[in-house]
Amino acid sequence: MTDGTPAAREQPLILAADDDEDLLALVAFRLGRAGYTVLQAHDGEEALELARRELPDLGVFDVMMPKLDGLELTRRLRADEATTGMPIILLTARGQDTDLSEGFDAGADDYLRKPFSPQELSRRVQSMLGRR
Amino acid sequence: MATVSGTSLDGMAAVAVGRRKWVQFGVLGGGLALCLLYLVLPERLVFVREGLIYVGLEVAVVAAIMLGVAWYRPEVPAAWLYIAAGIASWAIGDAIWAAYVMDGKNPFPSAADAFYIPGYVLLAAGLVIAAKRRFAERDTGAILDAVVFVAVVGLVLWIYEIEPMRHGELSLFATTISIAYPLGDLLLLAVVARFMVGGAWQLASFRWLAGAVALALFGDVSIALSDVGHSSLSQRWSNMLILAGVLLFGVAALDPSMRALTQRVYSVAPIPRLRRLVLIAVAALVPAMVLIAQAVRDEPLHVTAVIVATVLTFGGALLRWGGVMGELERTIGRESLLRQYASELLETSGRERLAHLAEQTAQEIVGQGSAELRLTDAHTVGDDPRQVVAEIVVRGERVGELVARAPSGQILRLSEILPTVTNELALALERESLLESERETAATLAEQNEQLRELDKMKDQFVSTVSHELRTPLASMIGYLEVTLDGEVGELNDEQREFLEVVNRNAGRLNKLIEDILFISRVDAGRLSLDPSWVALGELGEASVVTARFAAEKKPVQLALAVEDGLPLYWGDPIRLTQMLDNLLSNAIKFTLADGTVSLSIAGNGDALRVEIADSGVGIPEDEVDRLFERFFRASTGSSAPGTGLGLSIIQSIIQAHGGTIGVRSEVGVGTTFTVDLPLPGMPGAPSQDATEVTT
Repeated sequence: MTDGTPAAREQPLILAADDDEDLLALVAFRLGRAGYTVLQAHDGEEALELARRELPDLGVFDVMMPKLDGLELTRRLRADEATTGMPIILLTARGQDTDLSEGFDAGADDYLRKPFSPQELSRRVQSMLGRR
Repeated sequence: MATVSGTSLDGMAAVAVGRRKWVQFGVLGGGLALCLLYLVLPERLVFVREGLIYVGLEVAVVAAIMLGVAWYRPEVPAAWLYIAAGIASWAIGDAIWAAYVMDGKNPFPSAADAFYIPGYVLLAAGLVIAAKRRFAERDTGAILDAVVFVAVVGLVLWIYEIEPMRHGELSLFATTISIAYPLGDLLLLAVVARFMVGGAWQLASFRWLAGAVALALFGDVSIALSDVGHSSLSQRWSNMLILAGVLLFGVAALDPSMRALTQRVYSVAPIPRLRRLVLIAVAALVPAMVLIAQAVRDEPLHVTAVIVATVLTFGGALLRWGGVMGELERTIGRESLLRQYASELLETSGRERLAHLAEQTAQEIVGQGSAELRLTDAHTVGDDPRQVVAEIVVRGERVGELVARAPSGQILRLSEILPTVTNELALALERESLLESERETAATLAEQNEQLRELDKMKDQFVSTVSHELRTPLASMIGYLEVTLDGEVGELNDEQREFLEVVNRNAGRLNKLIEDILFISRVDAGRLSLDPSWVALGELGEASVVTARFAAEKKPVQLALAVEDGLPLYWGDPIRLTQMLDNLLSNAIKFTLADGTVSLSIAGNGDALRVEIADSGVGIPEDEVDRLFERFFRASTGSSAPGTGLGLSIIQSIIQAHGGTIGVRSEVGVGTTFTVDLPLPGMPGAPSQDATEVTT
């Protein structure tokens, strides 16, 4: 369970975005079990809308998504004043160093290569939110 | 200047020419002999002299002219026939005179004069006809030259021959008749001068004619001068000179080049030599000099005549010089126009623009007229005398033509200049087509480049798409398995757990395989990029050993590590090197039976670092050692151990990317030792320290 966050929420809100239904459900399940409320988005545009509306406390985004990919989504959230401070973890199937540095350049805080361990993801989310 | 010479001859005619030459010189020789005879015959043989010899020779000359006309068939026989008529007229006059002389009389004027004077006119007419026929263009310059010349001679004649006649004691009628002779001479001289400055001197026939007129003139002048008391030349001599002159008319007609005298000549009047211009300037001064001479010698001054002559000569000279200057200016202007045109051609590109430039330049050159340039197959027939057609030929192929229309006087000049314009254009067009093909090649290359870049991009996209497509389902599988095995969705009984572990294990294998395949495909695509930095190879070795401990303890297999002291730092990609070490160690452990040993040693080796991994495993048969690094190759001895067969291929790629080598020694049943040599920085093949990324 998480520490109390300075948000007005009971539970921290996490926005998860992935075009793969199964992975999206897996992330929601695991993070839900860890005590977070998880919003689910199926593509970048939906994620952007939800992010601006709900102002989540953290984002977990797949990189390769249709309509708006994870990198561009990260950039836009960073550019927007309301969402600029949101911690972002990117999930990527591309493991090249260039891809990773691209992610950090876009403004992500962390990344996880696919296939990833849901436990590992949960730990990272915890530590990121714990810092807040 | 272009002139056309003589007749066209075939073999048989060549013989005839030879014969005719003999006749010509026979006539000349015989005639001269007769002249001589005329000179020396005693006074009493008047009939023979004046009658037979003199008139006879003149008649013979008329016959000779007719013969010449018959032989050579000039285009305009009229000219020669007039000349013949003129001489015939003189012959009649001489016959009448002979009659008088034989009677002992010497009247002046007489009926003979009625035939003499027309003779001059007929001769002059014949020469004028020839001149009009011969000279296609009105050569103003030559005419001016002739005018100046005649003015000077005329002045002299006037002062020394005609004026005395006027002040003589003869009647008006007689005076008029006697003046007619020098005027006739002047007329003949004028026409001959026209021929001469028109460049007929090359023709032998003309030279004879000029000689004829000169002799006749000489003779006439000497008679006139003796009449007024100035000359001491006897009348016989004077008559003989005239007779010799007449003879030369005949010889002229018998010369093969007589035909050319009436052949039309197309030539461009050249800019006259300085010599001629100076002569004309001098001629302009002659009247003044004559006046001065008269004043000095206290002779009566012929001011009017001198003024008239001065006007003519000065005017002629000025016009001539002015014309020459104008011509020079035009030529220079044309030269600079052509130069400008040539340089503009160099700066222009595009067929249409080049053609347009050429047309404009041609238009400027033509001036009053038109010039049209067409780059088509159209052929203009060049029959029109007011038209010049210049063809444009590029590399032997006719690509167009330039057609210019202009007054006929300019045609010849244009036909010499316009080809220059078209030749320059042809060169420019050739250059243009070369440039075009260069541009085409460049464009094709650029296109191919683009295509290659596109292909490259597609390859990249393919690799990343495949990567994504393979890893995503696997991520689901592994993720869900983990959550399930962690008990997050309920307790699992032992069997369930066991079965799910199997699934998990295989998912892991699949993952590894996908990683290996993606790695290999990146190497193939030349996309293996190193991210080198300074690394302590010893430390990497330690870390790999730690990683391998778990698998080693399971078998169990003993792990040993030996790192040399004081090894230099190595410039290489730590992640890849770790991958290499991990792979080598896991291979060694896999192929070693329980209670075996695997040892890793890292030491210096001259210019390189040597990494050795030795195992006491099953070994590799000798005949399979060479194929060891092939993809998907599994040694027969290790068929029971799991693996993809890609491991060594990957290891080799990594080593090669660092410029190193790998070798293997093995013995079945005893063990295998892999030896890797990695060249230190600065050695050939080692990753360069300038780039932070090295792509194979």
